[in-house]
Amino acid sequence: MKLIALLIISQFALFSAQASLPESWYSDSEETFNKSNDLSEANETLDNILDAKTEMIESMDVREEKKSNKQRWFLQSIKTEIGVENIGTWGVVGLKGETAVEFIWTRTQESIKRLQEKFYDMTKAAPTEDKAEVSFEEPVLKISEDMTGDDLSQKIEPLAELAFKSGKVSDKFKFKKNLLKHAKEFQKIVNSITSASHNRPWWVYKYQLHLEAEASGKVYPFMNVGAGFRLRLEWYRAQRKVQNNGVRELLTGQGVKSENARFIYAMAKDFETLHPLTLKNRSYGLDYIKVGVGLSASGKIVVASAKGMVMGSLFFKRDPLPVNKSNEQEIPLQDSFPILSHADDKNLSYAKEHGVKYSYDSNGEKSFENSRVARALFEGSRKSFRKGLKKATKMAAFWSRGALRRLDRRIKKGKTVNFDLNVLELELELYLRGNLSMARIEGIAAVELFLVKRN
Amino acid sequence: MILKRISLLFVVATILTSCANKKNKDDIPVLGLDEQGNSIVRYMPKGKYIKKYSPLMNQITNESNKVLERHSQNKPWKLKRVTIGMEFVFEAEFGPIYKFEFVPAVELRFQPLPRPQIN
Repeated sequence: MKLIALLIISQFALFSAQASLPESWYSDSEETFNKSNDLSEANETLDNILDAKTEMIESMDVREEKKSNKQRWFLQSIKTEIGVENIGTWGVVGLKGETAVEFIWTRTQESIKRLQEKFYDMTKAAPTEDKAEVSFEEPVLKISEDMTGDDLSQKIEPLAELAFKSGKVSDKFKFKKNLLKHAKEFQKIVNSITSASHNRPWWVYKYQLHLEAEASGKVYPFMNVGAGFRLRLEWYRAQRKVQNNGVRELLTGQGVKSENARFIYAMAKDFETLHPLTLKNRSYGLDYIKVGVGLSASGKIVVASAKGMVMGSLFFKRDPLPVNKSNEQEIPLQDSFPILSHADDKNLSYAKEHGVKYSYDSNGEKSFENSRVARALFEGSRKSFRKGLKKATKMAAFWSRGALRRLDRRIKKGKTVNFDLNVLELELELYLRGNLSMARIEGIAAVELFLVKRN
Repeated sequence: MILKRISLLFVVATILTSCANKKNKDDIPVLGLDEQGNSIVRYMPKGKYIKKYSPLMNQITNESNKVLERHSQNKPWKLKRVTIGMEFVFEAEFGPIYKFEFVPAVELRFQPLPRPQIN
């Protein structure tokens, strides 16, 4: 009898308080934020994680070496990630699984200066300063809308050489031919995006497509698997000029013509419902948004919400300057927007349960695994999407307040700050009815909000 | 008698499991996926996390810098930046029947230290 009692009591030990977030934040719930939610335990856990990370990071790259004239290296930034389970428990995440929040610490300018004084003979400084660049790993093929076929071929040549020398591609000729085909298709999409020249605060400044090449020279959209040669196609739009009155130059004669342009216009209008998120005097501004996109059978850009459907990303940026009052007519938006996902039993049951309309979407393009996957376009509700964005603002406030709280504590204790938590990336999962939540560890992020430290 | 022994074993296993699964005030939770693709969470005290991780990370970054400094001096190609993703697998065993893993990950970016400008 005593043993049975002990057995029962021990079971309760398993169910003691676990670090958990409000349910609406990690589930398909349209509730924005319930004020009765107690975030004190979540704040405590976040404080512990950030304290531990900061202590660890500030003790890194500590060297006692003599000054010399040789080229030195330094630790420029550190990234760690937080994941969320289906039941709401969350924490530091390993390499497996989708992340919900990414923290990027970058070394401060003052710290870089201290390193320079420590390691370099300051009497022998260089005549021009080498700026520390921050850029990312894959080879990139930058494409503009006015490039000719010859221009593209010329740009592809050094990449083909690199792919061949890496040993990952053996048929250079086939690789060049296939890459050129993808580059031309990419350019068509870019042309339809550039026609989306509207005068709204949020605008598309970058479109990115990830590709992967096999040894045979075949090139596929990169689907998060494989060990082939990876590269990126990228297009950037230049910022519009600032007029004398301090407002952004108005675009005239453009409009929202193609389906892709309409998609971007609608998404930009949705993002206008987001709060800019300025907290206290030092703030994290919600300045950039990344949306995972796929292509429908008819060549339309659509939001992709499943693994294997995301082929590229659209990057939106908020214009910090006022936008000139436009005489453009407001374009009415549809109540729904298409979401590309698998047409499997789980999704079709979900659609039936929530009254989400859908249509099958087949395209001839095979996936990297050389299999055709049943796909459908689900009509997500614009209203639900905007509610999800409002929810995301609350989540973003929670994470950024934690970061500011920890920094304040460190400064109050008089500790040196070598690394600043400059960027928080909040990754959101998109449900087929249009709702958003934090990306769970077994899910996929369709929308990412970038919170950048302002001062 | 057998029932008592089985019950006792179950209680011990539960208590051991609960040590890994129970969150204390100062704990750092770490998530991962098991072989079946199910998410799992483990906890480690903050002080222990810092004590385990800090010297290891400092040594790794110092050694990485040394290797990079040797490379950029000797080769004709200009190495602009290096990104290293690392996953640490800490394993604790409790007797012959139970062990758990603690698997945090981190990504580090290294760059050449810019030379200061002459004023």
